[in-house]
Formats: sequence, C-alpha cells, structure tokens
Amino acid sequence: MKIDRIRAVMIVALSLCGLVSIAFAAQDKYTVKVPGGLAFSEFRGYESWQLISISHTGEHMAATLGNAVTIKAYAEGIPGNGKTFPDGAKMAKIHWSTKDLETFSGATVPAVQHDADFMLKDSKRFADSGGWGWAAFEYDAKSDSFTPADMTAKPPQGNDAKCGFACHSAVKNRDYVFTSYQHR
Amino acid sequence: MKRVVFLMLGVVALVSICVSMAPAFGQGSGGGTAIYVTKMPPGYRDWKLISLAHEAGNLNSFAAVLGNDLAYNAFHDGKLTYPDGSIIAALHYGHVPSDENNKVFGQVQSFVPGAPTNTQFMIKDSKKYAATGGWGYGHFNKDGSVGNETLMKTCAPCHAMASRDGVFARYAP
Repeated sequence: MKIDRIRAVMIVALSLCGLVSIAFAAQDKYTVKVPGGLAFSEFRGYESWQLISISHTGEHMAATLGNAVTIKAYAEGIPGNGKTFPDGAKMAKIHWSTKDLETFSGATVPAVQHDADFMLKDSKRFADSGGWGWAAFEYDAKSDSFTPADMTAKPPQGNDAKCGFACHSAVKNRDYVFTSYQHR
Repeated sequence: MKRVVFLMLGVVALVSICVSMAPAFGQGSGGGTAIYVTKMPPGYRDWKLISLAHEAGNLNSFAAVLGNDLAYNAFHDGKLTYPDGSIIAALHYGHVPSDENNKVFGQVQSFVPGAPTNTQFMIKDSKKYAATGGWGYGHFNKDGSVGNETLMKTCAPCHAMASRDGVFARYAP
C-alpha cells in the first residue's frame, strides 16, 4: 500500500514537472517576425480558418486555409473569374511530415508540423510584388518553436515579404494563387 | 494532513486513468437496430480542419476531415468521449498529380484533390445510435445518393476497432 502510494505520488509529480516545463518552454509564436517582412501576428487565429484545399507534395502533406475575406472571394468565383482577391485576404498553408496511421493500415496522415506559410493581400503595401506579401516560418517540434525561414530554405526567404513572388508569378493570371477551392 | 494530500493525489491519478479508459467501455453494440445517417448535415464544408488522410492502393483517395464546433473542440483538447452533437465529416477526393504545380517544381511531386468520390459523416448521439457505438454513420456518393445497406453495415464494426471512441482520425498537430 505504502509503495503504491509513493508510486502514485511520483507519477503525479512527474506529470506536473512535465506540464510545468512545457509551460515554460512554449514560445509565443505570435512574437516571431520575418526581419523586414511579415509578422506571425498578422495571421492570428489561422489555426481555425476554413479549409480551401489540401495537397501532398514530396514528403509533406499540406492544408491551405483562408480567412473569411478569402473564403468569400473564392465563393464569388475568384480567381477563376479573372477578378483579384480583395485587400485583407489572408491564406495559411500548413505543412506536415507524414506517417502511416497506426490504427488503420494503408492510410497516410500528418505526423509532425514542418512549417507554416502565409500570404496576405495588401495592394498598396506590396505594390511591387503583385499586391501580395509572403512569409514562411519553419517549425521545430523539439523546442515547439517557429523561426522565420532564411536564404537556405526552399524557397529561400530574404529580409522582405517576397519569398513567394518568383514561384507564384507562374500563376499571375490567377492573382498569384495556385490553390483552387475544393467545392462540395 | 500529509495523508489527505496523498489520498487526493491518488484520487486524481485514478480519475485520470478512468477517464482515459472510459471510451473502451463505451464501445460496441448497445443492442437495438442500426440506424444510418441519410441527410447531409448543412454547412459542413465550412467546418474547421481536423486532419488529412491519403489512402493508397485501390482507393487512391485523398481526404480532408472536418468537424463541427463540438467535434473540433473535443479533437483540439484531446477530450474523450465525443459529446452528443459532435459531427465529423470526411471529404474524399481522388489523389491526382497537379500538372500546374509540377511545372513549377520541375518534377512530379505534387498531388492535389481530384474529382470528389464520396462524403462520409459520423454523428454522435449516444441514444439514437446506441446500436452502433453511439455514432451514426453516413455515406453519400458523388451524386448525393446514400450508401447501400451492405456498405453501411461495414462502418461500425471497423470503427469499433479505433480505440479513441471509435474515431480513427487524430487532430493534426
């Protein structure tokens, strides 16, 4: 009985220690900012934005989410109708590494977050990059923290909001947006 | 005083263990006749994202799993069991290469949703769907027709093998 009690206390104490260390280690991601570029805080609440589409590229799976302005624009037929996204449109693309679902063989599902990428429409602020500002933040699961992607990343990110401009210019006729809204 | 603290800690530990084991007992057939979901819940396309899944092989399927607020909050907070009123939607598409994206990447590496294949739902109502572990299952073909009886009978036995209240999907971290 006494040993059981000691065990119980140790388990509880250890879990408390774990919780406390997580609380201290956790970074406030909304303080992270690309030098000379976009801040994470400009996309606050992106985790619960609505789904635009999903993709599976190389070793990563991704979900593209949009704020209310973006979802409304897609519903109106943008960018397929030749019109452009209004200022205030924001999109987030979250990449995960993948794994086999342990409980269901043959299914591949997200494992650990790899990065969070963003784009924001502000035709005045980003007049020299198609009206869009871009930012990429890499995620490190061990330290549970985000850092701005840099020139060694794919794609490279300098001290500005143009990391997506070169690639996204391939779809200039779709207002620089690759992703189509998946209708249901 | 020390004794009381020990006891309290013990109780907390026990309660946590019980809570984490509860879904295992909540599963299985509760008797009665199986009822299936025959109407699509309105507004499901705007629900929040829970996770994605790609199933290889013959299915070659690509899915987005969405949840209404009750389901999303339970997933997000890791709470089991799912409360009555929780609805989970699986939007299934084909898993097809994107020519447009691959041109930019310079190699075949990008896959996107193809044509929709079907939409499936799980609706939690522990009384109404007692015979199928508290979940009502729905399958809608791409033309909107409901899945046939033979197919619908396969939902509950398979999901009963998922240890987390009959749910395979996990909230994407």
